[in-house]
Amino acid sequence: MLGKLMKYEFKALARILLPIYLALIAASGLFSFVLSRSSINEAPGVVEFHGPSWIGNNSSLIVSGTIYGFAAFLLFAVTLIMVIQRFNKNLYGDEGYLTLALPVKLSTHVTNKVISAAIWAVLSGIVGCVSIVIIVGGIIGYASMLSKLASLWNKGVQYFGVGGTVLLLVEAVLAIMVSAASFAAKIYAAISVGHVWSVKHTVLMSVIAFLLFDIVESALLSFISINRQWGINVLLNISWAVGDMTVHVAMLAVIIADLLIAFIFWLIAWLTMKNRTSLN
Amino acid sequence: MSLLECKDLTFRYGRKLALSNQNLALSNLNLDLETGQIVGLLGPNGSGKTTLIKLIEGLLTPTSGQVLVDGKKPGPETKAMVAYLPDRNFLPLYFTVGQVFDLYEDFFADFDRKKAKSMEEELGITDNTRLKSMSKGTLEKLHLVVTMSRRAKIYLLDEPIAGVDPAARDYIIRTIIGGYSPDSLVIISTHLIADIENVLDDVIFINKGEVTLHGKADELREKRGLSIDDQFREAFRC
Repeated sequence: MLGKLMKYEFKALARILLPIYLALIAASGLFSFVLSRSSINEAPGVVEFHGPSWIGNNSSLIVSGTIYGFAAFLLFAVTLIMVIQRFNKNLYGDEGYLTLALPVKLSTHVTNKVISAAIWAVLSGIVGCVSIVIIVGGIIGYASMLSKLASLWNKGVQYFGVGGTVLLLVEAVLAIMVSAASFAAKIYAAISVGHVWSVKHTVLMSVIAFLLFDIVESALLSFISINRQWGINVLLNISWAVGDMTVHVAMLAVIIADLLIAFIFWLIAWLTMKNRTSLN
Repeated sequence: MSLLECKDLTFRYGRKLALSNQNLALSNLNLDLETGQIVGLLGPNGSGKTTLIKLIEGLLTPTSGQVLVDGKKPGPETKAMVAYLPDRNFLPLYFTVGQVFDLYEDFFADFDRKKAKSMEEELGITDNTRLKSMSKGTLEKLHLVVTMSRRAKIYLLDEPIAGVDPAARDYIIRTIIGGYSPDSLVIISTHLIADIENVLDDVIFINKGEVTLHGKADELREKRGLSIDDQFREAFRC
């Protein structure tokens, strides 16, 4: 059932986010093109565009830059809004009458939302990075950029080996995904608690719940940070034991910690919904 | 064995520990319903009809007491055998009719796509028709089509004929009678009794969260010499 839910969740988000991804890539392409035809005029100290006259003067830089900036902001804002809205609308809104009537456990519904949110957050991040790569390529030239990326890869291979470098990249993607999952789970826990605290002011209560969760989470992390010496000792012992694998162990520790946080918020969301599910 | 049982079922909206009767939607409600009948759940607005239906469907958790569907508490297993028609639009409007059928086929093993397709043709819509392009009446009929196309044990129809024209009401009532299996239980909640009373086997009057009357429709009519509609008006006169 989780697979089926994720299929429909994917389609629901794709219809909104895929056009925005395309718009961002197009905007970055435009900005990159404009930048590639520009140079710094050292005398007045401004960036001048030297493209075909039909494109315009320096204003083309400002316009294309603004379009890109707007598209990038839209990507971030819409991804965040969709993550929130899909949970709120699909489980607590009118669509909830369909969603919660499906023969699926509540825990599966919450898991679907958290995993889907994490995947789309990562996809949005990847698209954002691709747009930056397109722009940087426009500034320094794609050949130069590829050469710099190759140099970065070679440095990685020098320290960690090919396998180690690939593993590090996988760990980085996993870490980002789990971090996104824990953030989404925190939002969903806050929405669920908000609906319990108040029928009329659910948005306000959800925001308050989110802030409270944030405060508690920060306080715990501060406590761990203050008492970090034991953590450092643990890491030093691990480093002695595993040698070159230290960075991977550290990445694994980060992933596990975030996974634990995600699980706690998932639990809060699930238990709150299970005991006080209400559709008014 | 009863197909649907409610034992001292109580539900209160809001805080569980409230001592007053404020927000008390259902109060110690007891009900025992068997298969093979169409039951009218009749009451004025705010009487608890929709709350009861949501509890049976598992959309709400009882404050106290319990509801059992075929001997089981509401959950995924009971949702697989209960076809629920809410009193509002519940389908994503960006869906096409075909996508709605796909979703029902994906999640409900008892969904009969052939039956749904034949009813789709009667409505003059196709798989590619987008829900947001439909009129309110056609959309409500589609809701009923997907609900009655399931071979469910229990059909919960919450206000299926409210807000539609008389011709549409006739279609809906015909679809309900023609759609359900004799082995199943149909519960129709409504306050438009005159249109529906002739199809009812059993009648439940509910007011302020309590059952005030429960009996066979024919027996009630014979006993009082009044239609169910007239008895309802008398019972709930303001």
